[in-house]
Amino acid sequence: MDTSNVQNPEKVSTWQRFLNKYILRVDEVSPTGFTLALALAAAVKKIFKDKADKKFSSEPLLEKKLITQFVGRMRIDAMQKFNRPTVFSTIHFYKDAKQMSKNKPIGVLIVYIERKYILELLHILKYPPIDDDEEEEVKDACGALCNIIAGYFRNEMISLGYPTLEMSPFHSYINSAINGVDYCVEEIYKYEVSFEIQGDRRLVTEMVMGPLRRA
Amino acid sequence: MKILVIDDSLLDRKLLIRTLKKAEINNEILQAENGEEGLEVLAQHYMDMCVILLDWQMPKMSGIEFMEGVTKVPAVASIPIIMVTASSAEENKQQAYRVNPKLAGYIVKPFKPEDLISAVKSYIK
Repeated sequence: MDTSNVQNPEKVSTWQRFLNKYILRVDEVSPTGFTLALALAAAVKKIFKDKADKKFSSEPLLEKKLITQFVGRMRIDAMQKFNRPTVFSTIHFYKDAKQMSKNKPIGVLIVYIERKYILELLHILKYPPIDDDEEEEVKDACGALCNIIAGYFRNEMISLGYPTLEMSPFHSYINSAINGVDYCVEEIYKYEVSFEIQGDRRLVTEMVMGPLRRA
Repeated sequence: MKILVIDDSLLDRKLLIRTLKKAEINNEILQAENGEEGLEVLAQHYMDMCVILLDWQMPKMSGIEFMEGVTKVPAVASIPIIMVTASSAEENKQQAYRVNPKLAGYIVKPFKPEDLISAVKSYIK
């Protein structure tokens, strides 16, 4: 009997336990995407540990979602994340400076924060206070956090053997980006990683990454 | 003597300035939102500039592009530059030192106040 297609039950069980631990809700698992989503989760956890010596109230929730494309850009509706006014920032990743100058990203990171929570988040991370009535200050603060998350995420990727990618400056929005955002158009899925603080979903990150070869 | 802080994030500029003030570094601090603005400020104040704190990822002109320009102009090439950036990769750090072998420091965000202060203090006049 040919048993080459029969999966090893022990391996499946270990994999399932691993998935359950991270409450992964996916129909199928793309190893690269999944690995990078875990790297993103690890990056955010490290920032909270390093900057505030804080842990999240539960393990981050990982979800794989279909990208909604609109005229070659990724549609974003930030209001869906918290059902409340939301500020979000994007940072793009590029294979090298040449791709960056051509604006051909290999990946994008999006950080969503419920608008009314941003002051508290800044306080936790020991940033100076901002005027949260000022839209530009709120957007800037979200961008500053996105920048740090992107830097830590890229470091996690490097430690996994991925190449050092170029990072763009941040761009920030409130509730929606009318024209969507650039992304690696070959990709169909995005990975969402959300974090609970004091029992509430407070911070959501999303990542799309095109094909990358490990060193 | 003056300190120039170049960072596209107002929050990060506030954090840098607050950290310097808390350490009783009371020099006048000038600000710019990107490399281009930084060059304009530098052109006006380079005679009184003792140190520049420089971000990497910024619109219009990045920190690396800023340094590439500055290191070629003898009048400003000797002003110490400390990079304060979220780019923590070793490869990035090496790139920064390649572009500016005289780079006075490379600090990764989120930074520890004592790291920033010890890097800046030796250049304060």
